[in-house]
Amino acid sequence: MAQAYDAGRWKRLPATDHTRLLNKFIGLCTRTDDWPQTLHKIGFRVQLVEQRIALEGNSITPDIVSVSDPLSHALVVDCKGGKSIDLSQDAKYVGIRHGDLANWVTVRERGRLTHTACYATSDASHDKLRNHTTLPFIVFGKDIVRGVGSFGQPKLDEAICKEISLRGSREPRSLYPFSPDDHPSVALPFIIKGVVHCATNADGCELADFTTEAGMRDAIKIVHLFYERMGTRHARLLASKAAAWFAEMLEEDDDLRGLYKKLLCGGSDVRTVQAFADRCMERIDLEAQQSRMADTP
Amino acid sequence: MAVQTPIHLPKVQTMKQLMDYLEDQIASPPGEDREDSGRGWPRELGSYVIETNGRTVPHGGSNGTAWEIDGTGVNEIKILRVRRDAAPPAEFFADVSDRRFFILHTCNSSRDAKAAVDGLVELRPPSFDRMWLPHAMLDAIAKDGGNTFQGFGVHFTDGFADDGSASTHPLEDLNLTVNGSMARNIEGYLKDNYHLQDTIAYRKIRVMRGEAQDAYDYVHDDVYDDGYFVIKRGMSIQDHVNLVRVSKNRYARTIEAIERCRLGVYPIDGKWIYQGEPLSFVFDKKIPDVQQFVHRLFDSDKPFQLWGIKSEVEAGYYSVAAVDLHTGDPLDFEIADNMMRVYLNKHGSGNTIMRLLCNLQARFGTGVRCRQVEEAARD
Repeated sequence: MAQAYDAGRWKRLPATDHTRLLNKFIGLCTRTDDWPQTLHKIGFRVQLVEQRIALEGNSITPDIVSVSDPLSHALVVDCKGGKSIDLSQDAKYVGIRHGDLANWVTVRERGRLTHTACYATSDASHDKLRNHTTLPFIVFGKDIVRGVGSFGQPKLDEAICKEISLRGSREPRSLYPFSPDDHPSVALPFIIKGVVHCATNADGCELADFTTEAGMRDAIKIVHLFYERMGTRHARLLASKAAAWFAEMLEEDDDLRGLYKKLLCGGSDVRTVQAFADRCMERIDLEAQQSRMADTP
Repeated sequence: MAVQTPIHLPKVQTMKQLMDYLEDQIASPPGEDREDSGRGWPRELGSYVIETNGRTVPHGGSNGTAWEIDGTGVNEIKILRVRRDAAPPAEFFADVSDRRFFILHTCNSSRDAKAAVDGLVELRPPSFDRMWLPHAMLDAIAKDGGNTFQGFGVHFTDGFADDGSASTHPLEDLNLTVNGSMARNIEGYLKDNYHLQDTIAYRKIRVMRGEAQDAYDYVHDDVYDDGYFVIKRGMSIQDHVNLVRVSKNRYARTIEAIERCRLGVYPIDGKWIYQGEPLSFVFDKKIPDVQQFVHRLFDSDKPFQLWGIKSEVEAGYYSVAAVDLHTGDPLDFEIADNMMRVYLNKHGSGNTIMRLLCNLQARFGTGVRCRQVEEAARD
């Protein structure tokens, strides 16, 4: 099953800034070695991802809501990889009331729950965004991460409003593996991993067709940690995009399509699964190599 | 080589009958070391700990191996029969009191018993896996209350050499066994040598349990990193059984600790909360060629049995979306020259991590450690 060794084939397009910010922020809330655990140490745990929250008369869909039970405090986070802030959305974040969150998050002392809405962004974006909002920022630079502005919670301010070194740190990439806006080459390794897992465990049963949104859900819920807890609209978008990327990859390769047909019927036949997995890997590696060559002047 | 008659185990009615039967199988004269007796001992009383998938049915089979479980008069003791194509059958007393980790006692020849266990772990879809004991776990077992360290064996093979070229490791292979009161001293000399210290992950340890005055009051067991316990000296079956059970319990606790790290969104107090952490592997010495390391680790072959799509996300930093081909579990890896994160999802098995660590120590270097495993081994 081993493929010829050509590490040049492993270079891929990077994930979007948005996906990378999600990973970096979730990393701060997770006990992840080689990455600061700043928010994890004061009790923050991610509870909601891309969850629509109804407000009085409208709604918002923050990227993440992370809650510290010891502090009875929630961080409502919008990851901003771009250059501008949607002012109406910003106003909604400013207008969140504590009661709006209470139905969605788990905290021991619900009556004491407080919150801060903030942006997570990069150094370059922060320069362009900071004059358009009163909300605080968590700014990820190359060598440091720092909180800018007041988060309104003394222990949180103490923990985050300083320069936290990222030197020698390794950015987590797999906590939030891909978004609908990522290039297919970022998402497909994870998607194919999910398909291979489903095929390996099929136990002789027919598989769902992963080129459909419904079929792809089986694979995505295995490979995307947050899929099952995403807001419904976002989860459907992610599954339909993934199904389309997967279908497109099959469409471009007759051999792969043939193996896929066998896979759907053959369940956990080891040889078919391995042949399919290897062909997918070759296809992805080849495409990465070709897109790099096309980018070379 | 003489063909041995397959042993048919009796349907014991009490635990005492089981213990008496096993003790009778320790046929070696008291005090005599079987290891030194060359070909003289066709059978050894040994025990395996194997992990089940928790869905174990009374029989099954694939890949030329068939197995069935039969009852005895003791509820928690079964007889496990394993038949393989063109090979003698093997029978084991299976202690199934722990539904996840079975203890198999065998009086078959060690070769036949090993082949039968190999057949069980090769079944597809997977029903069984070995117990994998990395260096820190074997060291902890050697130090467990009631155990005395009596020796060790190492078997290092450079598994990450370039294709077709000579190993760059100062030692390509090291195969060594040391038993006796000088064993710790010799281990110390090896650890002090810069070139050797990375090649001495335990393949096995020798442990004494009991009181050494009388052969019926103690055993010397060799404990292998793949979960095989074999009596080498002494006659105390109870000490052997206790050693296996205590070691199995320690292993089960470690697996639980690893599986508490599984990443996922879990229901807690009626709400869904994200929990878990990546497993953190560290390398005492930097990986000299990370690309080569990644290529080797995910080549789908034994012993790692990992398949994965590799992405170089930064210079010298790799992300791999992988599948454990033994269990079918999906895993994610992030690998740089001094670290490796492994993301186990909420259905993943802790045994995958132990197998990975054990085989990395035997093929890359003793200096590969997993923080969570070391923390669990210290508890």
